[in-house]
Amino acid sequence: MKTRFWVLMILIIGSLAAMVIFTGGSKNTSVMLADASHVVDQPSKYQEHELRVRGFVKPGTILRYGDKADFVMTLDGRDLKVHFDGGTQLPDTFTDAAPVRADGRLAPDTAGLLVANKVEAKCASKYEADYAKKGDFTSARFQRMAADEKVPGGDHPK
Amino acid sequence: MNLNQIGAAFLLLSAALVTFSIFMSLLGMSIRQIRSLIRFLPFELADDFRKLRGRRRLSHRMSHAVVSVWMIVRRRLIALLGFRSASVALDLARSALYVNAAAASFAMFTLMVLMVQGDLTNHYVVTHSSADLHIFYLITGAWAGSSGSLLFWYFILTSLSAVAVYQSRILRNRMPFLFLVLAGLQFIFVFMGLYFSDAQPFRVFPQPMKAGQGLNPLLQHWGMIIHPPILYVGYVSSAIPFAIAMSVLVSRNTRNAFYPLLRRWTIFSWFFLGTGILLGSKWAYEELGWGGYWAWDPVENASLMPFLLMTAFLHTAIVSEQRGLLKFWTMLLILLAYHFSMLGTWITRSGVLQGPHSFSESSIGKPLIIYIGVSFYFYLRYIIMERKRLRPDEELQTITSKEGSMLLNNFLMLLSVFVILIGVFSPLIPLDCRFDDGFSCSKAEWKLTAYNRIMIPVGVLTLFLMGASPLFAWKKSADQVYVKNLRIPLILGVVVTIAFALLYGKMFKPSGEDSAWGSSLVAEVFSILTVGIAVFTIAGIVQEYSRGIRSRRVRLGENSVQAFLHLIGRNKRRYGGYLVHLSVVFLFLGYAGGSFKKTVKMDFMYYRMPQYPGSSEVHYYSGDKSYVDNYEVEAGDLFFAPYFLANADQNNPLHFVVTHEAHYQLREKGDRAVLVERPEGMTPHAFANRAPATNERIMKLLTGFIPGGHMKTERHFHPQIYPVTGEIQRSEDGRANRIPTSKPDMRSSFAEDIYIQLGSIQDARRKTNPDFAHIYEFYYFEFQKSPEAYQQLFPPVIVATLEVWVNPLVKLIWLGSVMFFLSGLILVLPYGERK
Repeated sequence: MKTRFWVLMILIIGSLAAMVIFTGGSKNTSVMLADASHVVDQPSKYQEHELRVRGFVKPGTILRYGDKADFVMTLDGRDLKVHFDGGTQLPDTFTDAAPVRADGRLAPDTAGLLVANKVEAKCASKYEADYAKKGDFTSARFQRMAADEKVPGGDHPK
Repeated sequence: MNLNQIGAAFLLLSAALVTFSIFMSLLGMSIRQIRSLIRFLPFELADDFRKLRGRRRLSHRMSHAVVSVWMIVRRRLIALLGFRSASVALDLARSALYVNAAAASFAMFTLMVLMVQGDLTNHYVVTHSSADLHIFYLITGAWAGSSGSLLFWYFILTSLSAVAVYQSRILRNRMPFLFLVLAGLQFIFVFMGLYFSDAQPFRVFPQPMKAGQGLNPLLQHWGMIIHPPILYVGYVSSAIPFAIAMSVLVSRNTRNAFYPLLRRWTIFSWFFLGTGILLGSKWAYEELGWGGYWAWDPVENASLMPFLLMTAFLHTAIVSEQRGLLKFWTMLLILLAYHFSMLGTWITRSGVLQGPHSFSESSIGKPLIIYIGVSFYFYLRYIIMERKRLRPDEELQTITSKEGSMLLNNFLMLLSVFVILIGVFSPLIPLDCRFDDGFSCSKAEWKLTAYNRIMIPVGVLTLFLMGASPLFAWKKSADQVYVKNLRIPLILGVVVTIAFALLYGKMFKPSGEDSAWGSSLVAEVFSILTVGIAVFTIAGIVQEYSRGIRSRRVRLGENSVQAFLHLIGRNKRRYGGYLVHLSVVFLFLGYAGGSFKKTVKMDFMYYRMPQYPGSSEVHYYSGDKSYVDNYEVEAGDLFFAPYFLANADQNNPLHFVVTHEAHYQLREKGDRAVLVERPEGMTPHAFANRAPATNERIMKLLTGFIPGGHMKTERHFHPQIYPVTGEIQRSEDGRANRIPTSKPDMRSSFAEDIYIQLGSIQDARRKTNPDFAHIYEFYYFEFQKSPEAYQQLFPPVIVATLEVWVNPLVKLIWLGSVMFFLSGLILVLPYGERK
């Protein structure tokens, strides 16, 4: 009986795994989280995957044309070119030095160009603005922001 | 002494009482139990492997030294304290737990009073309340934030512990371990509340702040008032059955006598957790404005995992009790259920998984996760060490028997928990591994599709087993009971599956697009299967009930209604359980409707209307129409307007919430538009917001839909306040930081919901989306609503996006939720359980 039970279990898990594998693995169902600096350093690792990349807008690099925009995302001294395809609306908080999160994929032919369909940006708060002025575009600042964030917004709503 | 000091004193008193209770329980425990506390698992396993017995065992030698010292200390202490016997210590431990419940309640009450008073020296009050809040939200705000909710958690824990300890008074000699488990857990929470700044509810600022930051606007909803307490009760009460199970195991009294108490507490915990989850769904649907009720969000998953484990436990407990099988498995499940409840608390309260990309950590995260890890290892030892006592009385004979199907279903639930766990932790731990460019693993965030792809097939299979299991017989395989039990439900299920497969295209309009439910074909196949299995399950339940009723009518001469009520009343575990199954069927049917869900974005162009003299709103009008499915949506007025909370001062910028408010007419195709003229002297805003006629309200109540029905959706922008200066937080360019919240509207009938939510607003000419909340604030305060500013600040033409969802069968989810609550209540209420 035990053998039959385990055979059945293995069949169930096997068929589930087969379903997952044959419907495209985890490529289309998960978003890889990455820092802009890592994407620049190891583009091959991130090629062909859906990405959510975080970094800061490099001051003076935003070039808008209609709904679309080009800009450079910077983090820890590494620059990543981003092309926003106008698929969604750019938030009005999207300005120079703003912390941003871009969802998209690396362009297949051009090395190191992120084609983003969604860009979320945060407005640097008054208390945070000093860091932006000093040109602090490091991942340490993200951590500091996360710690600050906990105070004003309260906790997770659920 | 101020209230903050009084509250903190209560917490200190509570900590002292808990410590005292732990000490007294240790003193009252038998030597054998003390020995089992310090057994070392690797030694035990090594001894078992080498088949050593008695004094030759390594573990015995190790514990012997400690225990002999403890015996002397214990004897001296008992003599010193003047106790007649060790049981006096146990009585004191019990009394300390009772008094502690009172101390924790006073601390909780003190925090509520501080919230209502608006004490601006208290850190928690400043970060979670403001003067404009309704008193209702001031009280409930006491559990809206991290430290308040931990105190609330602690308060529930101490209260429920007192009840459990009271219930165990007859068995006190066997239950010292119960005191120890509960007091140990209480200690962790009171320790965090005293020691970690994030968790201190009575922490004060050196000087009073100028203003409170307000309650997160999303939490200002009726569901949020009852949802968290219910969910907490569910989480917290899982400690009680766990403590009972462990004390039974440690006292080595594994006979069946404890099952009723264990089961009753597990049902209690399971019921509250389930109701809490369903209420949370309802809140998310009504408040978050994204047209859905479940998003596999870490916080939702955190509550689903213990719920699934408890469901699995409740079913194996039946098998353990009836057939003496799966005892080990049952104990393992209660251990997992409790630790997953704790893990859920950790996920929600530590902040680790709040924003998948923020990686922020609160200070209580570490002690809590360490406690979970240590506690899991500590108690897992007992289950492993006592495994011989937990051996089944007999072997499982066939998989298609009642017990076999329950075991299989159990396995599926555990598999679900495992899948969800991987999904929850993949943004934190690099679990997403690939082989395409050498072996590499990275952090990733699972999309809905990732969960659905596994959970939908598992769910459908679970549903099938849930339907089949009651029809199977103990020890017999399915073929032996086919004719008697399975034939009719199975035939009905198959017929309906075929019929629905042929007809569903006429009933629903599949979008043909891939969605979060998977590719359209797969989603439709699973929804057809769900409908078929649902019919099979319902037919099975009806068959079971009709047999039970017939039997009572023949045997006892009752009429059908009496027989029905007595069936549930006398054997509620079985027949009440079937009602829960029925509610799950409705939930699944509602979820299956999701595969025919449709989402459309509509852009409407609006023109600025002249300023109405004396009114403060900025008015736009569209008149454009758009279509989805069988509906016509006509955009009407759009306003930028002020919105004030219950106790707001309308001249205080801190209380000034800006709203974007859009009105629509929703008609089924073919309905005629009804034109009503605005009466003289009524502002456009008042006219748009006029109360519907009584007949329309009655019609909406009955059908959920009014022809030519008016719908209104809003976005509110709440100011963020900097408490030190009592001003609104502003960015460098002077813009106020505001938190946007959504106010969707829905028209709900049994077939489908039309759910709308206003999205972003663009300046049509410049193609930018200006910060209208900021502009409106500027217009309102700086320019005092002057007509020139009205003309110059607001663009003449804007484009506003409306998101529309057509959600079929959502009503069935709420129907299933209500049924779950009622049938769960039948199971929880203390009557009708045969002794």
